[in-house]
Amino acid sequence: MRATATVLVALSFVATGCGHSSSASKQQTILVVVDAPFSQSPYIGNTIGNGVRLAAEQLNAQTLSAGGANYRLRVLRLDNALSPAKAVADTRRALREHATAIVTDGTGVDATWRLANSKHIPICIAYQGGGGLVNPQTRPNVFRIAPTDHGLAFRLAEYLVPKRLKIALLADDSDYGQEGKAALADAFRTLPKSVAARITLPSSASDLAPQVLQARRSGATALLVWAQAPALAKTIVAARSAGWSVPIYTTPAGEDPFVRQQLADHPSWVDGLTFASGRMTAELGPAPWATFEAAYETAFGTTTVGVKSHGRPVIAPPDYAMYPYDFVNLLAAAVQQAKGTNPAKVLAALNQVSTHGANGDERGFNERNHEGVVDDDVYFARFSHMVFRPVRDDPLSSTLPQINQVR
Amino acid sequence: MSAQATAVRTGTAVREAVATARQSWTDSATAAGVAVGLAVIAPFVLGGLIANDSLASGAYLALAATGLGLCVGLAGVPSLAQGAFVGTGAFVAAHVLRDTQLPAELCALIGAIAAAGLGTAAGFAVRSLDSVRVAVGTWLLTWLVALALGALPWLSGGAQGLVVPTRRLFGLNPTPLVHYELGVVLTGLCALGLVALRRGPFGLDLAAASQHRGAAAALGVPMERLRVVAFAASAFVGGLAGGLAVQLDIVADPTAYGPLLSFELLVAVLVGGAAAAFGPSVGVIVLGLISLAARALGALAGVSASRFQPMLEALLLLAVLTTGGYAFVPAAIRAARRFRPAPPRASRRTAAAAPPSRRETLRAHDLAKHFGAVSAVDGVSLELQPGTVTALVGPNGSGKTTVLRLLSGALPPDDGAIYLGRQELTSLTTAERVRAGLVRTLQSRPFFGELSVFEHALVGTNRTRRYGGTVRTLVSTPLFRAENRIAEAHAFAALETVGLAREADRPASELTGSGRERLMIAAALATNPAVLLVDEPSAGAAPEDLELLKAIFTRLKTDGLAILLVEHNLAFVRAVADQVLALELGRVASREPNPRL
Amino acid sequence: MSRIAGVPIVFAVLLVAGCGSSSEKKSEPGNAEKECGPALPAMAGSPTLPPKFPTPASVTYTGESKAGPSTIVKGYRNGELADAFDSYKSAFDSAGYSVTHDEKEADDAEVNFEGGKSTGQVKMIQLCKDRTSLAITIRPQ
Repeated sequence: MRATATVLVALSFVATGCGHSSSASKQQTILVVVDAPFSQSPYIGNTIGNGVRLAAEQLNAQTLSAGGANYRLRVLRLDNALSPAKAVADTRRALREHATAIVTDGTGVDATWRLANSKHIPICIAYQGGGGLVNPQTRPNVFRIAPTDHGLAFRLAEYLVPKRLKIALLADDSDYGQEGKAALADAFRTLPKSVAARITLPSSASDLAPQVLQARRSGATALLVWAQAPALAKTIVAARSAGWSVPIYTTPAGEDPFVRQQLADHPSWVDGLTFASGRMTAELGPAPWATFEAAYETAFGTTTVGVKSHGRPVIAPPDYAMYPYDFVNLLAAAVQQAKGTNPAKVLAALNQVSTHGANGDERGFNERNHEGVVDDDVYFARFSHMVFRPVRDDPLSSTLPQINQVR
Repeated sequence: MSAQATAVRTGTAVREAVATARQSWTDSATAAGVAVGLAVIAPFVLGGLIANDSLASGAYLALAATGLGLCVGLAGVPSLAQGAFVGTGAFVAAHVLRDTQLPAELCALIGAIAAAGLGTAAGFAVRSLDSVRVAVGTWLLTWLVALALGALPWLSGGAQGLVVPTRRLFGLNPTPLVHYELGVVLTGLCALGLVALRRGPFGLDLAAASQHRGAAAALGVPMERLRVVAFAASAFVGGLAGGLAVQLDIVADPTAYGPLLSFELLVAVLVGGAAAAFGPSVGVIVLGLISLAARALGALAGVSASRFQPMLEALLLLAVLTTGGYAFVPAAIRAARRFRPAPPRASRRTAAAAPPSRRETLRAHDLAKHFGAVSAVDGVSLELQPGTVTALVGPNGSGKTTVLRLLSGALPPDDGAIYLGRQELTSLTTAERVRAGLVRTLQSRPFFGELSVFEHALVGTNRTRRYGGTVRTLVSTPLFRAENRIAEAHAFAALETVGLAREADRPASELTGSGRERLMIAAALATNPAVLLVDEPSAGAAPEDLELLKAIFTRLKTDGLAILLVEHNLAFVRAVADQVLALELGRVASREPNPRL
Repeated sequence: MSRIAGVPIVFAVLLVAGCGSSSEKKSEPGNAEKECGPALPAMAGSPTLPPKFPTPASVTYTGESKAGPSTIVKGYRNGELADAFDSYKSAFDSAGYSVTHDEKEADDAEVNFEGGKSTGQVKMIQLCKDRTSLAITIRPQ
């Protein structure tokens, strides 16, 4: 009797195993292509790539089912090297390989969206905030989860103008800087008295002392710098080495580890640098973010900045990795809603589904809006001893906790 | 002319062209034809192994590289600006596509024309520079274009580039496959054009200029003009490649046309074989293989392949250059010839019909040339009558060679005038004087190292051609072919005059010093001169060679040529000269109609 | 007795202080159960709102301030957070505004809008049992 039972149990296990393998053979693939500048901007590329990969691994661990089939996410990383032509070639490859979605930093979207749209493939921008990239009416397959230039510019204006500062607007001559300059022009259009000067920073210059001096002579009592990290670092060096302790405000470029690395010999020069970025935690509190950060660090390790604070290594929180992570979860929800990976249905479903993002915030799009980060979710943080904390003189920022940045 | 007569003439011309093509068909041509055929069917054979858009990009790269072959292979000019020309074609085509409703192929052509304009300007700027300066100058041009694209977002579209509308191409849906086939066809045509040009007057002149500037200048080769034309043609092809590639990419990318592209194109040309028509295309295929290797290395090292690719390309180029410049296609041809030697070329021994001799008198009045306080030539007057030899003798430093250089146009006189018949030559360039009928040989016996004896003579005939222009050469018009036959006959006649007819197909490098002296005389004779200036032809000549030279000069006198002979060998002077001018300290010391020594 | 009476007084003072504060109102768990104290007085005149900006029923505006280019209008609505949330969403639809994003949690909600040549957000926080605070941020386009 016992032997029979044993055999039956064993047989049942075998049957289960067989059943598993046969259902596994029905497993289909959701291909997510990450097209980012891995070679030209490794920090941005890897942040986006890792965010996608983390979400994919978590979803694969849970078994994603839709329309009676199981799905497994596969991630393909392609390097666009900040080249629009390369982005087009990568998009063609994504289409050949029947990608379900493309996640990009934004390079070449003006050209690639049409290609992808011909096959109803959604593109999610996870870094660039320029205006014109996203338009639900004319580019129905382009989405963005990242702070927009418009949001950053307006929030900076809202934050700074009440302080009655005379602000010098400095933008570098990169496309990032010039698009930011346009956004700032929009935000400060009705506030000419608040603007002391508008100055362009040449990216190729090794020393920005002339431009900073020009700002000083204009009577500026604050600098608002919209530039890539190298130009921002040079601006800080130029101001502080001239003995000018003017408050400096900037965009998420301030958070780039490069800035602190360049100023490692003068950590006090970084103190007070205030940047705007998308909030890391949400109304639900810091717990969801902490969970996300822990999972990210388990998978990819901590991203050390290369400087120390009070003798302890400083790490960079993976905040920008949240955005591609959230998109992949939205994509999974859209696949489930569409009961499969039919491109047109998935694209339509993306306008309907929502999920809780990495920080607990609700993420979703609709037919009228393809921006996943609202302007009001921009907060401000200030550096002190090489780590940053939310400022206390902004209504949103004052509600946010400080994220631990030392290990 | 009636339509029927036109049709008959056209038919005859076509038959002649086909017959000529069949006569000159070689194994290399067969191999090239097979290669093109394989290239055309490659997308269907590969079955998706390589994506069609990658193939199409490669085809346009091959087209741009073949265009560069015009400059590097034909003109011997190391241009590093081809990337700038490709970029110019791309962005001009992109703007025209965006701003007009012109057909796509016309937009590409406009881009090519714009690139040719830039190429013309670049060629003009570097027309008289040596190779190193050409390389540096063109490298700077590439940087200039790249920086302009980066600095002018209204021109380049900024970081997002300039998106290009999709338009039908030659009536076809512009899929990557259509672009690829178009690229292959255009590259094949361009390679064919290279072959045609190389064999024609344009190619011969460029080859001569690249192999010995001095000798080419003496024969009246308009080197600077040719270099400008080579740049313009190279840029046109590059611009056409850019104007079509941008439509494949659907975006004009400012980062895609920088110095790296120029470098890669030059690598492709040098690695594949600058002198071979399909060498650049082979070089592009090699670059494609390097790309695969870079990807594999990148995967191993865990970094992007783009970090390895330029390094591998540079290493390959170094390997080719340091092992004697044996590029792929020439090496393959050499290897193939070991197994199957090239058949002997068809004899050109047509009945030599010498051109009618020109009889003109050269008069020089009070020529003077000063170098600082030194008067190298002071008040020298002379008259060279048709059918006579005038010898110019004197000790070293007496001004003999300076007089030759003043007469040939290599040096401008400080004073005096020169007339050939009624035409004043004083302010004309050397090339213009050669066309007018005055030509000089050089003392140093230079020669064009990679040309045959026959081709040397042909270089001279190019000065006499009316229908030997680039376009006629490319299309091989009936007038071009007819004139070609005449030119070859005249070249052969010149070789016969100097006793080198039997050596016609030998490389000039195999001739002795005396043989080269006679070869330069033959090349000079091929220009159909009225006046010949010869500088020490007997130097180092053996007795039998001296006898040959005497016979040559006697023959030339009979033909009515006026000859000025600079010589130290007084016995030789006595044997051939009708008049002797002795120079001393830049002045005519004596003038003897019958030499007495 | 005085000590017992003092508790609700202190509580009321704290409540009013919380309501009257110009800083960001933090949503706290259990606000829906709290009794409401006196409401802030309505502002004089009308706030500067974009054309055809909807004002759902039971909304009272209490103040307006400028923050750089943006206008912030404060107020409250009598009723539950969920009602306020739904009211604004349908009011925007009726007024021809687009709701670009909306989010509702236990004690707070946001409705982002676009229209009237502006963008912005209506942030709602359940202050107490029958009152929802409103902070409308208007950004000109």
